[in-house]
Amino acid sequence: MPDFTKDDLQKVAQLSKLRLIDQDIEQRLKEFKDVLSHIDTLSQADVSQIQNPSIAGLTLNPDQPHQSFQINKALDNATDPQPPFFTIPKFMTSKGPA
Amino acid sequence: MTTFIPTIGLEVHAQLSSNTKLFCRCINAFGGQPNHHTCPVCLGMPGGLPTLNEKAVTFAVRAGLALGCDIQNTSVFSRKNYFYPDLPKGYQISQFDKPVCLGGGIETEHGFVELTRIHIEEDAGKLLHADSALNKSAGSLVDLNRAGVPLIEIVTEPVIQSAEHAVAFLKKLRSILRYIEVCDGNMEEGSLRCDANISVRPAGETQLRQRVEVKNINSFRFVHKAIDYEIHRQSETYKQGGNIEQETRLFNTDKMTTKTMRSKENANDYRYFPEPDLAPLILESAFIEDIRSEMPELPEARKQRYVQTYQLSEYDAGVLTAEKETADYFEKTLAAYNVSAPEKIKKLSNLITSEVLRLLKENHSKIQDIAITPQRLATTLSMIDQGTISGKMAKELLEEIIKTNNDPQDIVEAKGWKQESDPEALKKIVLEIIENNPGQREQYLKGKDKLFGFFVGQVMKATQGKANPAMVNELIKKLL
Amino acid sequence: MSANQAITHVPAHELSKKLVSKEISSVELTRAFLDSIQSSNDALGSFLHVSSEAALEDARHADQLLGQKGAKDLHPLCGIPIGIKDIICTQDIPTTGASRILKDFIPPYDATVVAHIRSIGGVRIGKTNCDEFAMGSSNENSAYRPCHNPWNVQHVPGGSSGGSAAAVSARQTPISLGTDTGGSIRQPAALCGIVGLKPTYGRVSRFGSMAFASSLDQIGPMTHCTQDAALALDAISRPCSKDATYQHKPYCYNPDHLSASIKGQTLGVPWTFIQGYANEDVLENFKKQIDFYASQGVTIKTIELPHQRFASACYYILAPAEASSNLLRYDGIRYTHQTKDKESLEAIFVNSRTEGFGLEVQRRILLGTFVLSAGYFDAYYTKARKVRALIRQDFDQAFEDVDIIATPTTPTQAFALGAKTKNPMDMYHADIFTVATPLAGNPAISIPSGFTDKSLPLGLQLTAKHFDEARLFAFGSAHEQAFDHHQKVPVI
Repeated sequence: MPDFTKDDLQKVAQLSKLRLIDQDIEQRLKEFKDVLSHIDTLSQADVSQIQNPSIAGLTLNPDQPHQSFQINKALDNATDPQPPFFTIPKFMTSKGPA
Repeated sequence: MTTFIPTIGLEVHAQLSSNTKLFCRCINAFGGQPNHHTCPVCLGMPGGLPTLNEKAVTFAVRAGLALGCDIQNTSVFSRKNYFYPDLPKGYQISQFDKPVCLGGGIETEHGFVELTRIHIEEDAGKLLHADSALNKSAGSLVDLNRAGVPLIEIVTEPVIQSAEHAVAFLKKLRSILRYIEVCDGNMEEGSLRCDANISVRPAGETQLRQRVEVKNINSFRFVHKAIDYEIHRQSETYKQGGNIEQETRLFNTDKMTTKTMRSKENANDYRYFPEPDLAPLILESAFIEDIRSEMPELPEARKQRYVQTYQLSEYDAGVLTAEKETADYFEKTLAAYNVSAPEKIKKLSNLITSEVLRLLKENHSKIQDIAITPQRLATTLSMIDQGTISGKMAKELLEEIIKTNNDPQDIVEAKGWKQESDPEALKKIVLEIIENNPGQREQYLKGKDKLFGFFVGQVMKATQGKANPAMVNELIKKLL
Repeated sequence: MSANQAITHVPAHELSKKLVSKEISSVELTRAFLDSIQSSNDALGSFLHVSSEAALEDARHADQLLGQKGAKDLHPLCGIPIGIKDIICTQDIPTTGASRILKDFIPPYDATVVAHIRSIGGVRIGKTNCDEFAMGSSNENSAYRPCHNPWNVQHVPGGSSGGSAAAVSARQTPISLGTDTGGSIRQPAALCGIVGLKPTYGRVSRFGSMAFASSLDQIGPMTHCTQDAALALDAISRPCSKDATYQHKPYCYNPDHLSASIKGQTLGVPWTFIQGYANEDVLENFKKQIDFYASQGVTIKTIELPHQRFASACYYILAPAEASSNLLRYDGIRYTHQTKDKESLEAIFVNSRTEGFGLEVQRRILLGTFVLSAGYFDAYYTKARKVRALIRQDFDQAFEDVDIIATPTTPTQAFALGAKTKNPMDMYHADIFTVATPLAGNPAISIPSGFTDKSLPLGLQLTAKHFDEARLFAFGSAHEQAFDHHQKVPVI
């Protein structure tokens, strides 16, 4: 992928919810393109001769309840919980996805 | 003056009434202390893995069969990846390109509605805005009890033509789902939620125009209003030369309008890929046929059965079968009443549709809990047949049963509502009246037929309305 | 060598005999290993957390079981200390995944393998260091500290299960559990001179192990010798209803598996592929191992695995793809590090994750997100799945002609710390011999095969058909009868 740009990388970062620091971005882009060259070698593979493998089906579990968490256990590792709730701090909440 | 033709498609999410969640064995129940039905799996904790609930699969297949779909022998779960605090894993396990059901449809009085597909997926948790009474630092509170609850998503083709059509479809759908006991259809509790995709185009245009999605509408009334509002809004926009963009809107229940959701900077790329923690779901034909053979009677079939067997009108049968519980109630009462004459069955039907259902509504109760049990209703009807009470007293008696929760015989006794049906006693009174009113008698015999009513009235007055009217009529005819 | 040192050098199956005969108690044994850890952990960095309290509690419990009638019917690993890679959740014991994003995480649940260990009376001695979220081949991606190869502390122990390997190699614990996605058990085992087994995919429940690549990950034992690996597999492959990919085929230990004759079996070698990547030392060492098996009456056959050359590219598409999704749950909301820059919901997600994840993890998330994204999905992800099917086909076809396949485990000996960190691709090439097996799901073991002239260990990798771990144990055991590499202990 010769034309993968900084902007492309930024878009990927946005989807991943990661921030790329400006001073590092050249380096990060170079590393990314190196790996792209590596995975691009897959284009040489001829995939026309695949036999359909038999699929092991999915086991279904009976509809029997198990022991759920004690409430303090569920919240033990949370930042500023408001038992019995997890919390989001106060700010302008962005609306959920479409 | 351009007419605009609306095109509507619906996506309905129905919560399945299994005991446990779709991918873990936490309890699936509405209400409950927040976050008390959670575990590492539905909280999206490290190392949590999904395991598929067999009941949820059965229910999904049952729903697909009831809705006329093609059940797929192989379907695949996929991850839908996006960030939101009510989505603990950061992805929803759903079905993307290989859903469990394809096709199907429901007949409505406004036209048949084809389905595109039905698929299984998990529900998200709930975000609540923090009360100011609680800690002020919290902007929102997260309750993940609902995260992982099993859903089926029912997608219609864009063939719905009006708000009425949409509501008719939803009512039928809800009825079917409740009949087959896969979903309780409780819209206030969120067991049934509806997203609508609405577009309009000028009459004469064949190509559909841009559609707008309105999300999470949770009552029939709101669906109606939201669709009407959108149709109007879009039509007006076009009329004034404006354009409709692709967007998602929310229905505001205070203003009865739709409003844009704050749009995100980046359109969501969900990056769907097959769920690696779950192999494809293989459903053998035998499994599917077992479910088909155990299918409860569907509302339409039950309605037709009532028309055929009991000679009820389509309308009456429709009212009785609109809710499974009402139909069950009708049949239980009929069994206790133990009659086969169509006129008697019609009377029973009328009593239910005009009185019992009204009282139900007034008292905000469920038919399973109503004081007028099938046995009591059957007794009431028998008492009318035997002449113990007059038909006119039925309404009051039923109301009294609700008020006092007593048996009808006891109430009639206590209130002294017993109808006078003793032929000897009545004969005596009739003879007395006739004797005391010789003038009217003569007039009647000369041909003034109207005076028949006078005698009837006098007998009724003398008996404080308790005389059996049929008997009175007969006696007066005979003795005049 | 002090008595304590002597006891820590004894393999688990021998320790078991001593426990049953009451020559030593589990508490004494555990203390000996805790002392060992104490004396060398600063230098090696193999343990991130030493769970002394839990260890002694487990040891006391084991001693109780060992004191009862029928003690000889207990699982042989009863009373034996076991190190646990820090991506595997241990109830009430800190579990960080070697990441800052879980720096304060204390799981309220055990992974299935930990529950199994506890149920047979095993001793949870501590959480071993690893590459963050199992992503790496040198343990240098640990957010806390690097791990050092006990054979030469300037060198890496391998990764991602570097801590688990170093701990066993340095006799800080007789057994440890690692995880393997592209070679993360086998490669460090080879570089540290111990045995490392990646079981068949679906053999061991993954519940409670932080998912890296769900369709590739397996938990496996790292031990002195084959017999201990077999005993450990017996313990950890027990039933579980919480992993839908677990195939309900628990491995049942049988001493006959180890003593089974290998004479007359066929061993396949993909020479072309090996020669393309192995350095001189490795190649020379590898040939000696093949000669050995030939001398035992094993037929050696040249095989081709035509799509093996695509395995690395395939792996570096599928593994990051799955990882990018598996790591979405680390979002700052329920149990992770939460940023202090919380001015919006977006900020919480982005800042918590950027602060919490190390660079290599971020690289793989970006790569994974990219190959799944609209417009690239078909060219990368879909294509990689097809190539994966071909790689699997290669193995299935090869196993129609041979019983077992052999390659070196690594292309080189352990490299120096910092030698491959400048360019991620350098590191990715380290797993060239191990990435194909997880793609196909086959089981594979690395056994110590000798030392380079720099006294650094090398490993031989043996791969078998699905669920044929018994054969791996037979071939491994035969090797151990003839050589004593597995008994060599580094001086720290």
